[in-house]
Amino acid sequence: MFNRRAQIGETMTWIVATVIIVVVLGMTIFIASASFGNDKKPDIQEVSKTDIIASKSLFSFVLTKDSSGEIIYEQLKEDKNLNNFSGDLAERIFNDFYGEEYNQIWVGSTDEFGFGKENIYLGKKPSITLEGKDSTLHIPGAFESVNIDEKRSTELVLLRRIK
Amino acid sequence: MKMSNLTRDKKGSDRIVSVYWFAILFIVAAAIVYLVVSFYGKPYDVRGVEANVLTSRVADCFSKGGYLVESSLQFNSENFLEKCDLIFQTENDYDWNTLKQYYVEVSVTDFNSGGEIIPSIDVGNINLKDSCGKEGENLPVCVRRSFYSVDRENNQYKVNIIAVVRKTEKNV
Repeated sequence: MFNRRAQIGETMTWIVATVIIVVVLGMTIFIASASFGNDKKPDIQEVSKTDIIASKSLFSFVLTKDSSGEIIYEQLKEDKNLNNFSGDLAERIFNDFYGEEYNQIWVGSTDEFGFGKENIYLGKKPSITLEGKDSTLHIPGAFESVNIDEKRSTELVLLRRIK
Repeated sequence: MKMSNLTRDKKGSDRIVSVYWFAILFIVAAAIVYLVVSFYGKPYDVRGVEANVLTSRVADCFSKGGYLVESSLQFNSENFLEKCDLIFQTENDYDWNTLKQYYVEVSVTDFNSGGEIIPSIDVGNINLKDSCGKEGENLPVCVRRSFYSVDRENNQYKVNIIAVVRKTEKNV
């Protein structure tokens, strides 16, 4: 009688243990397949820091001549910021062509310290990284620049929406 | 007599436990196999990357060093692949060479007026274009990009590129 009780007790322990093991495994499979299994679509724009197509637009932008025949590159060299012509053109090109893909778009000049100069057409240069409390959150996007002189450059910053 | 009973009962209990041990061993093994198969069994879908690379190659063909390539205004649907060094041939699995797996459409318009500069170039399987704007894992992947360009006479252009890649069987 005592022996049978011991046997039933041990069997019950194993039945309960099996149920727990199956539940834990089921949860592991569910979490693993929900988190990792479905995302096997590498996105070149998510990992790349350059956007070849948008870069082409920037290079052509700085080579565009205004009504006086001066190219925007020269104008940026002299004025150190966008003027009416270059500002309007930058807005038309970059907002119209890339506004759907990117959340924040900025084109402008940087000063000798590398800080972007605010302009009335595309606003302030967005910070490429957001400083968190413990870590730095990197926002996916693309960046391109054209050197104006040794210290200054014209930059294109495109920041993507965080999914 | 008492001692003998005890020994027999212990053996019976061990047998029952070992059945559970085996059951758990199989359950754990099956779960591991399922996880590995569910992750590695699904192929990487690289069609989006391929379509983006194709778009970049087409853009390189139309614009170099910030200027529109002069000869690109002579491109048409017949000479486009040859001029841009593109080959749309694929491996012949799933009869892919009969049903072409790529489609590219390029249009060059005036940046200011929007007027057509050259007739639209389209090469490859035009049926693939139907998937553009639609969502679905089994549909071909479509990439639409535009860029701004100028020529040396300061004419301004908008170049629109549509690249579609099918290859569903090997990517989904």
